[in-house]
Amino acid sequence: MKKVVLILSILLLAGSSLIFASGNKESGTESEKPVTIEVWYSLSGKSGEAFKQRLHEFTADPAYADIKVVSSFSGNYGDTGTKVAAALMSGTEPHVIIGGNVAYTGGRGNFYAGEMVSSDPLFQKDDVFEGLWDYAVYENKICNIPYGISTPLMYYNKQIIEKAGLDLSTPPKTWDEFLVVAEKAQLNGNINNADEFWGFVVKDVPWLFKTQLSQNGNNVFEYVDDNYTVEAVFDDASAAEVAQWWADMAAAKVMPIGEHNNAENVFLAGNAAFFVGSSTKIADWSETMGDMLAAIPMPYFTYPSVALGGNTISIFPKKDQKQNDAAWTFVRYITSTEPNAKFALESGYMPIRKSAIELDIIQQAFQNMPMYKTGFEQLAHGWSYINTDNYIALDGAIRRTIEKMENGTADAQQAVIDAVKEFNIEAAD
Amino acid sequence: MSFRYSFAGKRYETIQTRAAYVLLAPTILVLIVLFIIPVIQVIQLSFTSLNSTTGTSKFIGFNNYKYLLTSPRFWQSVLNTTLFTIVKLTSEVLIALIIAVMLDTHVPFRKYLRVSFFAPVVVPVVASSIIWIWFFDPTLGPFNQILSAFGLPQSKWLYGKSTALMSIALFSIWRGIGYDIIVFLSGLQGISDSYIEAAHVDGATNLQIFFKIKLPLMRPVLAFVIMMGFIGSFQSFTEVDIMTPDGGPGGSTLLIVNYIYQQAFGNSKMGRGTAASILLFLIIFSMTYLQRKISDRREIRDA
Amino acid sequence: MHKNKSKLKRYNIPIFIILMLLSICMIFPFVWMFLSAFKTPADVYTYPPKWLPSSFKFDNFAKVFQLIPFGKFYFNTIVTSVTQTFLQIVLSITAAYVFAKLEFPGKKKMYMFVQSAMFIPAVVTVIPLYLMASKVRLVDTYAGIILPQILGVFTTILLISFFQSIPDDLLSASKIDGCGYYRILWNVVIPNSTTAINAAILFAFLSHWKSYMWPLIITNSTHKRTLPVGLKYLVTESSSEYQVMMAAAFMSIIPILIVYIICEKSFTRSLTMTGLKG
Repeated sequence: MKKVVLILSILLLAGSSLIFASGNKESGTESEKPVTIEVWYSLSGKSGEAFKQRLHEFTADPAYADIKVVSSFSGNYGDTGTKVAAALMSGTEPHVIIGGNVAYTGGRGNFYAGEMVSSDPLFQKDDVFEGLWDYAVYENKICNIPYGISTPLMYYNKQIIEKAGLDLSTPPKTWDEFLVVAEKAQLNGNINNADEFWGFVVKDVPWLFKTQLSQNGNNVFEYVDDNYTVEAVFDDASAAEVAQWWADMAAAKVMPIGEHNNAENVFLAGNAAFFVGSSTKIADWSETMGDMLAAIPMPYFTYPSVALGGNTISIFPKKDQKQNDAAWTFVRYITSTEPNAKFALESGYMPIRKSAIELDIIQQAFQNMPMYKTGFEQLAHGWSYINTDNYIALDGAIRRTIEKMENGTADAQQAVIDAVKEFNIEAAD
Repeated sequence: MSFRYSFAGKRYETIQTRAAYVLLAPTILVLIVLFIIPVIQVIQLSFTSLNSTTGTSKFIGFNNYKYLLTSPRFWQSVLNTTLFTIVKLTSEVLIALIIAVMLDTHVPFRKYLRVSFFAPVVVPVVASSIIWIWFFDPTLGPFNQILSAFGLPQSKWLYGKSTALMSIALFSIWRGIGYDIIVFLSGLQGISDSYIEAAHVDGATNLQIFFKIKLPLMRPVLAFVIMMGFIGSFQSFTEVDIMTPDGGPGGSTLLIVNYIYQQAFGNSKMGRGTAASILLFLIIFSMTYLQRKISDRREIRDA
Repeated sequence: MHKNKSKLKRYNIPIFIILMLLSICMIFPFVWMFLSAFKTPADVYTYPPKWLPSSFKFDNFAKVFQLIPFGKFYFNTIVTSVTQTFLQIVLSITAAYVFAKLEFPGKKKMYMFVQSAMFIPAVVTVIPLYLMASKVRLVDTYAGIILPQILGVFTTILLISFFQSIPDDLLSASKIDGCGYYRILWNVVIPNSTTAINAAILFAFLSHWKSYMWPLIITNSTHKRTLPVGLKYLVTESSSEYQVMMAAAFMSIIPILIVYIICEKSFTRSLTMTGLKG
């Protein structure tokens, strides 16, 4: 008797949990209005807020009343990648992802976004800055849409620079010139009388490293044949020169050795003069640093160039064409001139369209926010390397190389050769 | 009707047998689904190159194992985990024992003391990790401030290659020590008064009593705590994932489970991830086997 | 409990002082969390660090709710923890009863089988469980969070040792009265083991509440996340805004602390039970 009760209650609970499960999946709203689409975004901080604001505006716009957007924050770039891999395996991927790697679309034969931008005149593909498409291609075919594109800026603390008596109206152009300025700032600019005061700190080491590689003509990866086989090429003399720079900076004691994870806090506390970071810091740090924050264009080796950063939009077409249309309408909306420009301004990302420059809000921003103008002008030198889904292996190899160089335990040329070797092993099956 | 029967030399009763199987069935089912099948799959997967991004997978024999056993990163994570475990366990057990002995004496406000020592255990790991991240901040956190107030040199805590792992160990000790204290305390309090009084009558000092009577009687409790602590800290994941998700400066805080997670869910290389988890299992298994052997031998010796 | 016969009224003051100092070290993080939850960014990003907030406003708490659906996380955690605990305890009780009090062919082998499950580190089964869950579309669902975590070998073994200590006479008495084995479990074994069962429930509930790795892997969307996972995303969302993180930590910790202080005896008892069974 009791056994029956026991078994029944077990079944009941198992059953209700499964009901829970099915009740929480988005049931396809095939033939009823409005159409529901699922959007993931890996934008946080001010960028996240800026994006959510566009969502509000989209929802409030009566022209799009028949589209319902269910959005969720999918974590940082790495976490999002995990989620996407999971979703693709179980067929539960969303319609749109802001911040997906091209490996998930182009790498899986999904060039839907590319087809749409070329075939839909309303999208106005030519209005988008050409260089940005490089950030969204797989094997040279467009598969994503650039959305939140950032350039790295050389930020500085105005208070420190003033105290050091420096004038940055003609900023240093090359890394050699920059070193001189950073050293002077370190010598005379210690506003907190801190025990440890630095001229230059950076958190995202791989991004700066790749930027510097491009400034020396090294493209990180190259296609070696018509089958788009990719080879890592950051082991030549140009790369060695970049690696050596890190050793020199550490040796000059103008940059702390190996403490990159803490770089942001050090800079925010006023214990470092210069900091390399994304243009999104303009928005993210507006409260904490306010007027004290300023920026100069990124110094360079041989010629000016910056590695683009940020995120692109991935679209996953489903069987239901109505959903695909809704998703495309949404994507087209957020990438159109004004919404995208507003998003850019509020987040520190750059607008993707040439027509954005004509907008009043952008013109005003250029006047009132010189940092933003600097970031924008760098777009002209924007560069992207060939996307790889082994980016963790790539960044890891770079970090370990830099660590060796900073500690003075390796020869630059050997270090980069080892880096490529390590990458090849990690990236192999 | 209930019948007796014999099977393989033992006597059973049909109704009892049936009841046993019925009641045991759900557990066995769960064990098969959540344990047997995954273990078989893990072994299978470790011989493939399953990549969860591209969805491709092919049989590659022992390549994953070869890769792991020659990978400096993997060995670094093993080293990190071992170092972490040793430091954490020894400090935690020693300090916990001392505190438990102190708590066992006649002090007021016992309940408050117990609660305060045990509170860190109860509190969710993630929440306390968040607090400690701030503590460890070299510029904005209070730890360095306190150090300099005492005239001691500042530390880089989570951001220095030589200090990061120990910082996480410190946090882990703070979190785990309450459990050890409570267990030791009840072990101490379980020691019969008659032993203690007899020893007092014989003129033994408190220190002698502790080392000659209490400590030996605590051995099983100690062994248990150490073994559970060992298995537990070898599988640490959450602290590192919250505090230094990228493995810390120079990979110095990357523990084995974090390494597995990185390979399987970061790099999408599930083949490597499963092979690494099998290696982890082998390590833990051999350690516990060794420990069992040692304690068995000691028991035989003592008997 | 032994009594200190000598000098009942004389407390050991020096040791007490040491213990108090140590206990302050232990609870210092919570005090810091409490104070810092009210700080403004200016309070936080100064050097040297400030200890006291400049005012006691609730801005940070509001910000937490803006950044993440905190209430939903709480709800998810409660739902999943309760369900998991219930299922796990049901399984543990039935299995423990069988091993403690019943005889049947293959018992020894089964017991070893159950015990061996304890030796597998959780991370080993995580990957295939995850692949299995994706195939049956349980990714990002409550069932997906709950079902793979209902295996509770520890609670089972705990209950086994406790059930074994119930005198067999009690059971034979009921048998004579005509009870079947199921009724014995329901009417005799369970009522006599409420302490142990409560201890097991507490233990199971606590570990499910704190469970991190599996929910992290199995949930994709924000509204399915449990509290520990949601907090982690707060760390990413609010980047270095320590004071907001403190507010979130505060809201996660305080309820548990309060529950703990109230039920302290049971907590302690449940832990010593699991501790002393070697």
